[in-house]
Amino acid sequence: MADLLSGQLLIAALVLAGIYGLVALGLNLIYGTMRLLNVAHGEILMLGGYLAYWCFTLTGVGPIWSMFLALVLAGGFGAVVYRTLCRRVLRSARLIEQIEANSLLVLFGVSIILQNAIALSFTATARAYPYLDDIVRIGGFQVTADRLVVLGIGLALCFAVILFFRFSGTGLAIRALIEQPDAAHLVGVDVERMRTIAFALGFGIAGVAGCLISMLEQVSPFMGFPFTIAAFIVIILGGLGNIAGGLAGAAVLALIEVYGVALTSASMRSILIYGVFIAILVWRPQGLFGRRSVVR
Amino acid sequence: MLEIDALTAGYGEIRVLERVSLDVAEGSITALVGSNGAGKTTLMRAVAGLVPVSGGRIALEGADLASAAPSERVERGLALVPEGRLIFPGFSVEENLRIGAIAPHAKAGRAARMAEMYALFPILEQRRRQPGGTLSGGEQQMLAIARGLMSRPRLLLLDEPSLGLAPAIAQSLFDTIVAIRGAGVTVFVVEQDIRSTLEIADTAYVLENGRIALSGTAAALLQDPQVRQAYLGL
Ligand SMILES: Nc1ncnc2c1ncn2[C@@H]1O[C@H](COP(=O)(O)OP(=O)(O)OP(=O)(O)O)[C@@H](O)[C@H]1O
Ligand SMILES: [Mg+2]
Repeated sequence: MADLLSGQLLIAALVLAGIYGLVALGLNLIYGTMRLLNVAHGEILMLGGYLAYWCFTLTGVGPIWSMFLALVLAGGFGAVVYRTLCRRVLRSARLIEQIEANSLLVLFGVSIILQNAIALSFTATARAYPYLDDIVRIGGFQVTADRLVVLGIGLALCFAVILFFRFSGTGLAIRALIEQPDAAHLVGVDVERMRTIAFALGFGIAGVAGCLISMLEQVSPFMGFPFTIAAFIVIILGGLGNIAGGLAGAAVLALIEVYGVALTSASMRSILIYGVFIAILVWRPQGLFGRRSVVR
Repeated sequence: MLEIDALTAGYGEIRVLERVSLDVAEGSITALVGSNGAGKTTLMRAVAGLVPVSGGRIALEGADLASAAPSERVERGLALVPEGRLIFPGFSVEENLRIGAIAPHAKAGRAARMAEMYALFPILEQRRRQPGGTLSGGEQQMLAIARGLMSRPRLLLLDEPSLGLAPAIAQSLFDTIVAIRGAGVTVFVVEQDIRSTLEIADTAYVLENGRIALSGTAAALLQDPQVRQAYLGL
């Protein structure tokens, strides 16, 4: 059993919290603004991971630079997916009644296509690259530099997102659409534009999260699914459509996962995660912080 | 200002409005009254672009609105204060006003307009940082009207603004409506309080089962025996 008070464990939990927070954010935005369940979210992260891998392997450009490319490319891909596929499942009142089920099917298709396209192009072999793996000492404990970088970028991005939703006009409009869609239409929110932005932002941030993860873990075509599941648990913990709650939910899940595994064994990971999932659905389906209070 | 011509609209198979025609003259207060379920809210929402139209024409200042999304209608100077208020309960009062001015043309002078709203409804300034959902019913109604005015409308649609208000507050609301018109905003109002409404309105329409049953100047309708019997209980 690992030493529960070690700094490594705390850093690991914080890193995971940051990653979960970022991945769940996009899922939450897309669900919150249009009730679409994006089960392909983990695959966007996987694409970001491959982008970072190939940028580093072919050109030597590190992930802290290629993440900007991932943000733009994945964001653009998000806008295209919305405009081509998702707008179709939102186009009539009758379809909107079954939006959750329909979007699940459409995006499950996208997820399978992306997994297999990457597996065909680059084989199913997991890949990794050496980057910033020198050891840094802070106070009494040691940690590899890449973890600190991932932690710093992840927290900075979460913070930037909170500021964006709190203070910008676009952030306010997206929150309005999440909180009260009818009234958002009424006050003149350009709904099509906000939905496109929600997709672009959600996908873009998932792409960045993929770059960050590729610094710590191997990338493979099938790495996305566990993150999709984790992200769903996080947004249920935090309250559907509640953005700040999602970030808190990410911290809760990451702490449970990292410390739970440390106390038991790595094979317990899935049991822990699904255990949290079921527990929250049974005891607090509205989430730890309630559903409607978007960013407070 | 607003011309509605043979408008037919409803929900899916259900037809609520049958060839409704009416005009709202620029600078007027025009009232729409009628019993529960007549289709008044449906009409207001169709004008705002929230209910699909299956026939007829809606024109704002001469321009057809058929293909305009709700946000474009706001951009063209239309604002609806909906029945049941629909404020953003988790937003602070100030954020509710900020989102009211989200339309591109409303950005200029936003701070000045917010100050005007606080002057018009001082209680809102005291509650600035409070979530909209914690306001009383009357305060929420004021917030909904202020939010509508934040978009600099030339035509303000009000759907049952006095609903659920204490009589004294309702009376000051009618004064506020007159003041809004005085500031150059055309008002089209749906109301249950038919007497007070006809007292401040210029023109009025009576909607029954999705059709216009009566229309005329408000003063004439106030004297109309049919109206007096059916709606004023005289
Ligand atoms: N979303 C909806 N789906 C189906 N039918 C609806 C819907 N909204 C309203 N209706 C029906 O349309 C008719 C007109 O409703 P509407 O709300 O326009 O009436 P109203 O004149 O505003 O009534 P009230 O004075 O009670 O507000 C009613 O029969 C109502 O049941
Ligand atoms: Mg009504």
